[in-house]
Amino acid sequence: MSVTGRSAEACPQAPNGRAFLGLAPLVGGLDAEASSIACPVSDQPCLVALIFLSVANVPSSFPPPTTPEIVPAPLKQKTIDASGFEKVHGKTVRPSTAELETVQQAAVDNCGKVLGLSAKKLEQATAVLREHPGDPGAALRALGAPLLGALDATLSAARSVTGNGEALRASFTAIEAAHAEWRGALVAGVGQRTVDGTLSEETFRAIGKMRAGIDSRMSALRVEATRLGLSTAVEAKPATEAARIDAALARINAPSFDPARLKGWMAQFDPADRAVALEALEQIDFHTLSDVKKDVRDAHALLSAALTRDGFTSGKPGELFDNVDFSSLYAAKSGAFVGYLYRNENKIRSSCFKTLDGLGASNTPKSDRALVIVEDYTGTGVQFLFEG
Amino acid sequence: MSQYKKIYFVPLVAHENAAAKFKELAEGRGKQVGDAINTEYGIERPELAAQIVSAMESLSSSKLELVTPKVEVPITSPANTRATPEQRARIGAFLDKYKVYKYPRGIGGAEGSTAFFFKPPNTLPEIFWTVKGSRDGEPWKPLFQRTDDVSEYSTAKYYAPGAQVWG
Repeated sequence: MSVTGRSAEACPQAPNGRAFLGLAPLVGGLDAEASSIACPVSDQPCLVALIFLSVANVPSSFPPPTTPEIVPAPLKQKTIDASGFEKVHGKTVRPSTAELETVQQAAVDNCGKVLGLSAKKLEQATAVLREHPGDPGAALRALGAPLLGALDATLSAARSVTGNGEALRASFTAIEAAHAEWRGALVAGVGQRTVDGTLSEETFRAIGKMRAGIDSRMSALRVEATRLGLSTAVEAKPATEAARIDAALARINAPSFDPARLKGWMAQFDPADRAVALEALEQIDFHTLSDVKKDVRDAHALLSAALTRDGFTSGKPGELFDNVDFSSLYAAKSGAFVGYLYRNENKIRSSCFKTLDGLGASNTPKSDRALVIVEDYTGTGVQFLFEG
Repeated sequence: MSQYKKIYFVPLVAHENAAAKFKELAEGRGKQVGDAINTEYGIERPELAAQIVSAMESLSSSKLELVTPKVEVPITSPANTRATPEQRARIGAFLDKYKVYKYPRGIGGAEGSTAFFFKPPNTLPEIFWTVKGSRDGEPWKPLFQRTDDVSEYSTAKYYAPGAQVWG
């Protein structure tokens, strides 16, 4: 998941002739946000550096570059006092409260515009912040932690549903509301920083990390919601191609996958067809290592029930599978790899796993035993039936 | 394998075509399944084809069971609730337009939708996995990497050693 932002661009909504900076990538740290603006009056660095986050991709039309020219300065050349304001010639330059409130409102409005938040959502978020006066970071964390937990739980439930996911609609809707509230708080919380400077860099980084986690989960949840036909319950799919590519990458999220590969693949399609190529990609259910580990646990839960039902196992904890042989169709193919994960995740003794050739050569009577063939995938079942 | 009292086939994902075959077997339609095997493997020798049909007919539902946590449906199937009817139609036309090798909708026209981090099945539309395709004279670069080989099939003998593994 990438975070798109802008560094050192003048904001057209800067009040009172002051320019402030809209600086986005929190995940990348605050280093990128160290910039200053030349003041048209004093020729000194302008005092306000407003930092806000972009959760979604910033539309290309926001904000258009305007004068005065912005000259980014390295962080080490800039000093910030304990309250988060710049020091100029060793003296803290603090704007008036009225100025800062104007700047804060501009920031909140601007962020709300970028994030597409309604006035009502912003109002809700601001109310949350008021409950944590002086520490917007605490408000963001307080809102974010249960949201993360709810996202994980709902994602897990959604991924295990293969048919009608209607039962999850309420969860999706609740998460949509919680997510919007959190984003609103994020916007307002960062705006608050310009007034009281209560957010430290560490807090910013911590919130940024939380934001990245929430965003990637939201992307995955949207995919599941679409799969289950509940896409109206959560936010619409990202509209821009770049955002959809980001969402796809977040969903694949495997170290074995090179993100550059996706862009190269996309480039092979006619420009007019790229949106449909993304639609096709969005249909693909990509199983990461952690997904496959869950798959083998789910498969084993089903198998264990069947084995117990048919009298091959007792159904009690610590089953040794003495009457069961496990195998895969082919050696050194993906089924064998999945067999390894299956054995490890489900804590089955390695002696239960054998090659098909070994089973054939064994003189152990099989008439009272069960054979389990573990594979990753079957397209037609014919390979299994033929080899078997 | 036939000596076992029961055989459980446990794929992590099964395409609906596979689930249908197991259902056919359970319903005593082994001949249809045998015929499908002969077609898929291109078995022409009558005696071998008859053996396979006979073997499938002898399989009873109590002897064989498919156990899977997920049954996959084709991308353009109405059963695919992940896409709207308009999307399904659009994607179907798109896949046919980008026939870069032989299987625009995946092997057997399966339109699979599952990819594992270690390998995509070849039932996915070929734009996702084929390394043999080309478009406008340029080699096709698939999205996912897959290593294929023919060594497990009798047809392997027709391939030169260097052409037995690709991907």
